[in-house]
Amino acid sequence: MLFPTFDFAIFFGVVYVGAWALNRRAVAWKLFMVAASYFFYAWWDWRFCGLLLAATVITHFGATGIHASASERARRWWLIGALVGLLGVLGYFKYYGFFAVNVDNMLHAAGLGRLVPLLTPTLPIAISFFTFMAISYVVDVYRRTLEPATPIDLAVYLSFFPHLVAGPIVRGSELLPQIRRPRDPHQVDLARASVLIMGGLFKKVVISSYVASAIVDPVFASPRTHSAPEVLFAVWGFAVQIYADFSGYTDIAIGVALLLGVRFPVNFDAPYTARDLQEFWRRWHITLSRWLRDYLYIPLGGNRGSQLATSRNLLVTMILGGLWHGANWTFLAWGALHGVGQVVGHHRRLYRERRGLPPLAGTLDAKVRQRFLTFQFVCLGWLFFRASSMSNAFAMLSQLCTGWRVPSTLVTPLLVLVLAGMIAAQYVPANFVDRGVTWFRRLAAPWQALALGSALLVTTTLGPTGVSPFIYYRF
Amino acid sequence: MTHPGEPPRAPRQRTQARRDTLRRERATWVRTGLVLLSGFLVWVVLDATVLQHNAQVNSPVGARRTAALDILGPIASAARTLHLDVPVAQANIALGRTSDGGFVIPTVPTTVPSTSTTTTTVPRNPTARHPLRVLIVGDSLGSDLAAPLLTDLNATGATIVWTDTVISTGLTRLDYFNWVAELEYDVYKYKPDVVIGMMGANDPQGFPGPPYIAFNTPQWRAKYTRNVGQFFTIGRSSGRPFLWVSVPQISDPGRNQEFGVVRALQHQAAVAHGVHYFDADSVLSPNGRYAAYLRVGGQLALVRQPDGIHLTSAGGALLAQSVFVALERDLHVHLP
Repeated sequence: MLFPTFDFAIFFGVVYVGAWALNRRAVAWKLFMVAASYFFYAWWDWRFCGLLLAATVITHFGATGIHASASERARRWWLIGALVGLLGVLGYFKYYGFFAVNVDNMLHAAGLGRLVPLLTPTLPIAISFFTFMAISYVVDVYRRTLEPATPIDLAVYLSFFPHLVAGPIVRGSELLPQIRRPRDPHQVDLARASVLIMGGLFKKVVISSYVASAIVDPVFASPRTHSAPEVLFAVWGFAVQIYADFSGYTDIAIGVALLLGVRFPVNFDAPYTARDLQEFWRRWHITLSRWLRDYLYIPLGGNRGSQLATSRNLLVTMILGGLWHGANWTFLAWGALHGVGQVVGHHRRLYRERRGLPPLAGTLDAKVRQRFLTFQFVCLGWLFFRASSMSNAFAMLSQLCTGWRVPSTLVTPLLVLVLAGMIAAQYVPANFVDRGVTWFRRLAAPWQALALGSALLVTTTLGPTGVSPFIYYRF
Repeated sequence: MTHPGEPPRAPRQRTQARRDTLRRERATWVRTGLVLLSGFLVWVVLDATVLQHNAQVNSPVGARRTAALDILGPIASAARTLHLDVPVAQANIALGRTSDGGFVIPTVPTTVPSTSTTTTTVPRNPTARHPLRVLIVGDSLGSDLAAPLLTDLNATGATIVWTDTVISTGLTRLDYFNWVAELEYDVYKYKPDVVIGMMGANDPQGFPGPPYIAFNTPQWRAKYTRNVGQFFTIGRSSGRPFLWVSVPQISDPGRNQEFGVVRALQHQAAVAHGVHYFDADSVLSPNGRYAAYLRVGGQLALVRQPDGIHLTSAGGALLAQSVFVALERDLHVHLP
């Protein structure tokens, strides 16, 4: 079920009333919320529900096993068992095909026959997200920073529909306390939720759809038939498209959760204003970045070892972060590019530190240069991320170098305006949104309803007929 | 707020006051629900004509569509009577759509005969100065072919290629997107030497009517054949060659049978209208069976999308290469 659809509006209307009506009855609320979330998930394919249930069961037994074990050795074995179970399911559904094709090609090149069966498991939506949440929960219990939850609390935590499909990747310590205690029925933050949902819908339905159809999809589909400026704008366009799409989804998810009295962490913070890659990853998909930091980079050794070890850890973390998005060489290249960028940035900071300089130069022209270069580097990464294959990515790069004498009919003034506007919007102070929230909050109820209806009307009128799935649904 | 003469509040008091203000300004769940419901209803009323149109043409026939039309019908009528639909209608027209949000397909000027009597001459040895003019049309599956075929044809330096692909369309639901009219305009506008088409993945469904015609009934087969025939006639006008690429086998066995009906009727119509029929299964489905993986240039590659219908970029490229060869062979064209 996609957020910007009639189906979801009706579903949410029922869930909203049911959830608040059962708010004071803890068990009933939790059972209702699990049922609603599984229904939401089953809308795509009911068979996927078995997988979500299996992940919940593995997580529960892993966490209770860890908690009940007296010895560190037993705790570790429970942890390994749970991680193998969770990653095994993820690995089979997400990476088996990629693995099988590459092994088969190697065997074929060596003149050997087919030794690996070629299966095509259907990739269940959201599997990467709920697997990462499950892993964080089990590891937190292992680290003794979290008490194991009851099975029903855990089921709500993993399946809660606002975050289920594309995050944010919420920690147990953030969501479980909100599940356990009743939510205040007099404290619904309608204003913030409305601003988030309407803003998110506009970004997804209007901006992302327009940029995709106007430049990104046609150019990436056949780069060699487009000019260099079109390729350049397609890459910048994808930077805007993926931001509008993913941050739009997150805003809607946060807003929907707020209407149910639940708070999610922030997932985006003007990422294209970053002055280096380290800052970019503190602003882009924040809940994934901190997951990679806390459950991968730090366990690998973080920056506690030699400089070489730190570089390796950065590179491994970013490559695995890239592969988390999908089983494709393009995602691996994207992760590797960010890994190399992070390593270079790390050594640059160390070099400046040794010379008694701040990590980044702070003059105005330096800031402008840093932001420009960081954005262009991020866009280079997006080129690989969006490309359908490595040859597609190289065709884009090749056309960027050679296609300057071809007319650029797709680069229209409207497109330039939209892209420039979306990049400029990143520099709008954060309190601008707060002012919008305050303005909405002070309206009388009928005006609030009229504002909501009008905002919805503008979005649906400016958007195309039908809504394409969110980019991050397939991860 | 601090009154004159009152001592300034301590930070903790100020924080508490701010919290109290926020508390007052937040809403109960009932009030919130009523505001959300009212806002939703405002939108439904103001957008009723568009929603009604979408339900009519963009939904498969069934209980869901019937219910949507039953609910939206009276609301849309009331909105029209009260002229509440005017802002959205004007906006849609300004955005290049019909007033109810549908596709606008330009019509061929009446002074120009749609099926010209002049005969199209296909250049047998096209060059950059005398290029082969190619139009590629299709649905989403057609777009999987169009992009790599466009690249391959452009690489010859002896073609001019236009692509016109629209997702979620086909030759059954011409009420949603009228491909016959669209092709007529494309042919008038681009004057191609050859048309290449691939669509049909959305065609196994009933005609909404009224009267409703269920899929694969004799009436359905007759009407679908007529639609395909009209489409082929437009494409073949002026004796222009038309190369039709069939819908390949799909992974779902049940739906594959439905696709088989579409495939068979398209094949019959192609034969009847002198359209060159290219069997995509000859490339994508070894032994006539669905295959997700194929060896392309010695390397095993995933050629079908996870949905079991659409093509990956490797699958599209593979099919495009074969269509390119078929174009040269069947039309006796030699591309550099």
